Amino acid sequence: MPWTTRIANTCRRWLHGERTERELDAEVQSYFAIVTERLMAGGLSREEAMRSARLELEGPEQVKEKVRQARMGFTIETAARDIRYAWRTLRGNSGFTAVAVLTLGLGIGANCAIFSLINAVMLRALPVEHPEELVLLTDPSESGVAMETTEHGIRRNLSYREFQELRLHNTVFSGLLAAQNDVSDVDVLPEGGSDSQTLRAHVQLVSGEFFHVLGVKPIIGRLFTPEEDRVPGANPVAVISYGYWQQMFAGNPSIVGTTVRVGGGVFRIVGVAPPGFKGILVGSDADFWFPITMQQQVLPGRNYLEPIDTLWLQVMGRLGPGMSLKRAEAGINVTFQQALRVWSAALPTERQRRLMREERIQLRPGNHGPSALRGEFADPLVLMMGAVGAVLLIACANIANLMLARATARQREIGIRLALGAARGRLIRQLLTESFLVAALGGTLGILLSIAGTHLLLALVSTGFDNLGLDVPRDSHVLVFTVAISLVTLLLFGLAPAIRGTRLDINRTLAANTRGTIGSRTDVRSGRLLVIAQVALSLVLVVGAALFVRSLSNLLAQALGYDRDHLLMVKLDPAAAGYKGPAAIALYERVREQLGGVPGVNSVTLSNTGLFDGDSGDHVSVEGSPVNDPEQLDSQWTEIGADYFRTLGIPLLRGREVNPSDMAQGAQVCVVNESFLHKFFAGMDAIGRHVTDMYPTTRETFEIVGVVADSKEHRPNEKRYPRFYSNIAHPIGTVKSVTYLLDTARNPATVVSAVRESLRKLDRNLTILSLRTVNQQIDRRLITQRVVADLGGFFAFVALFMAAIGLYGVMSYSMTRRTNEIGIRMALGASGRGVRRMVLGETLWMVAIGIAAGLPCAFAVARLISSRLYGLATIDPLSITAAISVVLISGVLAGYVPAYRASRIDPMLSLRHD
Amino acid sequence: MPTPADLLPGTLDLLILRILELQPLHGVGIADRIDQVTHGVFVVGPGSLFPCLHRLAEKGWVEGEWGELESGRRAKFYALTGPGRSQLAKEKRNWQKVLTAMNQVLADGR
Repeated sequence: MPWTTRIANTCRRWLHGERTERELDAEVQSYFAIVTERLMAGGLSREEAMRSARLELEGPEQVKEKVRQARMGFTIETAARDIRYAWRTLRGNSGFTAVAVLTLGLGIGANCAIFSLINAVMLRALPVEHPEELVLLTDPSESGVAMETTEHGIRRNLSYREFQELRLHNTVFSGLLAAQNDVSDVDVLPEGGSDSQTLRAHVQLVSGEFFHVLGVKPIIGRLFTPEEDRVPGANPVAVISYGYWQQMFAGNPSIVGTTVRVGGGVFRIVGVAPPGFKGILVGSDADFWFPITMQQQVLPGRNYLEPIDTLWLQVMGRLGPGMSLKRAEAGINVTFQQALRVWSAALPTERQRRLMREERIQLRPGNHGPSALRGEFADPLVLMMGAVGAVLLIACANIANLMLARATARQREIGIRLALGAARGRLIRQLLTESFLVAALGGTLGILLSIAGTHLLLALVSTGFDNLGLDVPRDSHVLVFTVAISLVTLLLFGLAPAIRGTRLDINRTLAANTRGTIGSRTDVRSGRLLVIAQVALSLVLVVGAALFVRSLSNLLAQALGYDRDHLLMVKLDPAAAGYKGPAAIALYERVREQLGGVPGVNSVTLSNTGLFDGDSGDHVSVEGSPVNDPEQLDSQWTEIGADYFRTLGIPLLRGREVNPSDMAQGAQVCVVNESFLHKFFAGMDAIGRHVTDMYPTTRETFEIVGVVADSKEHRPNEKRYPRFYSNIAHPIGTVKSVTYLLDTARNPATVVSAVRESLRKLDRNLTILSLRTVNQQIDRRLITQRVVADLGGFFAFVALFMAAIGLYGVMSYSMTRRTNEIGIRMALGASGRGVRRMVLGETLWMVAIGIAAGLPCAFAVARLISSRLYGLATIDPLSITAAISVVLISGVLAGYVPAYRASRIDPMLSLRHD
Repeated sequence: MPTPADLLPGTLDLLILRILELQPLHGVGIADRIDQVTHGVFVVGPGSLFPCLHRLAEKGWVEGEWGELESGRRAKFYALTGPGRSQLAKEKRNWQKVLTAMNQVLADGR
């Protein structure tokens, strides 16, 4: 193993390299001086003598080099000998080796897998030129399009108009770029291909400066120029990513110059981005980039470019030389405020004008790039890192225990070697070499396991996201991390046993019997301490996992106010198929009738958002309401079609719901929920009153025709909040996509294919954006909580299992040492049961101490994670009790076997043995 | 003066150990003594001498210590250690065996 010896050598050179080197130099100099002096004594001049010495002998430098080589050879030889010896010992003890390597491999693998994700999501710099110069003008965790929205205070997204203003008057950045803050999933048809060759691709709209400011260079063709986002619709060009080009076009260089049909346009591919560059959104890789001004062609439907309140861009800037973040922030806000002053003049109320003028841009370091994933996963990942760290500690404690036991078992061998004159340092080195081999094997296994682990984790997580494309590189960060934790584990489990094992009273060891009395009491004591620490740590993990599991089950068990198990949701995009305005509204009823005809479907309705998929709220004015504080006048709203409450099963308390004739006439009617009634009418009758939705640009008034019970439609932990359900045939603003809700008689999954077929019959251009049951959708919303609960539970189980093994090991070892003590007890009349109880009692005593030590830590952890928990007291008694019981039960199970064995000791046999 | 001969591998170790058995010597002194006792058959330059000395030191058979010559110049003197002494005895026995065996072989061939 050449790399192990290389590491050993480097360590030695660090330890005493410099002194040896100086000594060697002095020695060789002295040799040549003596020879020269002797030649001078023979009559030569100093110069002649020196020359002749050098000619006759070799030069001092060559001599030194030869010595160095000889010494290196010696080191390699001893290190290699140590490793060979260690390897033989480990192989001779394959049970121990397998357990140690496997335990360590699991521990390191889990750490490495979580760290790889942390690295990919949080630590890695964008693969662009000087990423440290990049700053974000927007909130990196934002994604999606927020339409007709006002963001007050510090801005999270920016609109294209705002970006244009900033770009035009920019004085602080050497360059500014904007990019759509998400990737869109679209159909791409390559040139000359038939419909069946349509590809799915993730596309992102970017400003013309995008590649230039990032410093990304094409590998073929060219990338966008700043002029390519000046005139809307004028530049039908595209850049393809290296990965997609390799995968879908087999890396064919002639792709440059060909065209692709996307959305409503035909685009010429002008270049291929370099390998490794997948856009700036961490977690959402892009396959194609288009100029931002081509939005209407790439993503037909709504115009995102014109309105100042369509917020959909991530904006980044590159700081020029010598520009500080603070100065840049002050500078860019001056520009931003100027634009806001002009725009705010058009707003109706003074309050709105003031709020708009108070908006600000906050600069944040942009070297990691924006990522919606990061906002979602940063905390859970750090939490999981803590959990796997604890698992690794427990694993180390186990191996340290094994090593201690082994060192004790080998005391005779070591004692003999010490007596024969072996240096203690040499023996420690040999024992450490063994630990080193175990750590190296464990680390290697860990890396292999982590690769599988990372894939598994990504697969788990990706069920909750539409466009998850996360690159998890095994870069230098991950490598350094793995080597570092392997070395730390080596120190944790290797050093103490090696030192302890060689600190022996030789005479006592040699004089002692081979059985029974070897091993001082301190060995067992340190083993017990390790086990207590293991129990404490695993209790903390079990408590944490119990809290997360309870929180998740609380969320899932929430009564939503309707029966969700029978509901199927179909999300459609009528605008993409060309349905707009009245045509779209006419389509709503046609689709509803069509889906109502599918066998197994009881009733069908629709809404603008569907369930658990985005929500809207706004200021309202309520006719006849005693509430007139403008801060109080707001409500959530949903646009619904006919039969909404009947389909979902939400009880209608008064009046009627929106019906097909309302749909046909586009009647301005709405239904309100109980909270709305209580808040605005204090329980009085509201039927016949009017609600007006107050938009900055539009107002829509609806007559209240019914009242329904409250329900939770968007988050399982949603609070009761006023909501009105307006007729979707009289839309508030423009409806983007609609979601049909189907009440199915049987399992909703069984009608999926019939639904697809029936929609295809109606209009084959109608795109189904998604087709899921409500329960699947809820699962997607809760994916983070689920992953945290699942992984937390898994790691807690592993921790507990390892702690139980540790407990078992220490008790078994202590029993073999105490064989004759127990023999005497039994000879004196102790019953098997009594012995069993004694041994079990000792085990449980250790477990109890571990629990007592672990509880305060568990409380601290519970407080730390309390903000992530739903429906639980900070110290949830049930979780704590359950965790303590689980740990106790594991303790009993682990302690039972040694206790049983002890009780079966034959007193005569054990006494005779000694 | 006889012409210098090539050293057999391993013989330099034995030679140095044997010379240091009598008294501690510095590098030049060892080279001189080898020249002297082998009547010029073996000439050992510093390029072979120092690597060998350091190897023996690493194995713990010899030990170097700085001292002064009559001329006042400082030099490193090497001395045989306890393990070095037993190693020398071992190598001496081994050498006798090798020598006897080789002589026999060569004598038979005559």
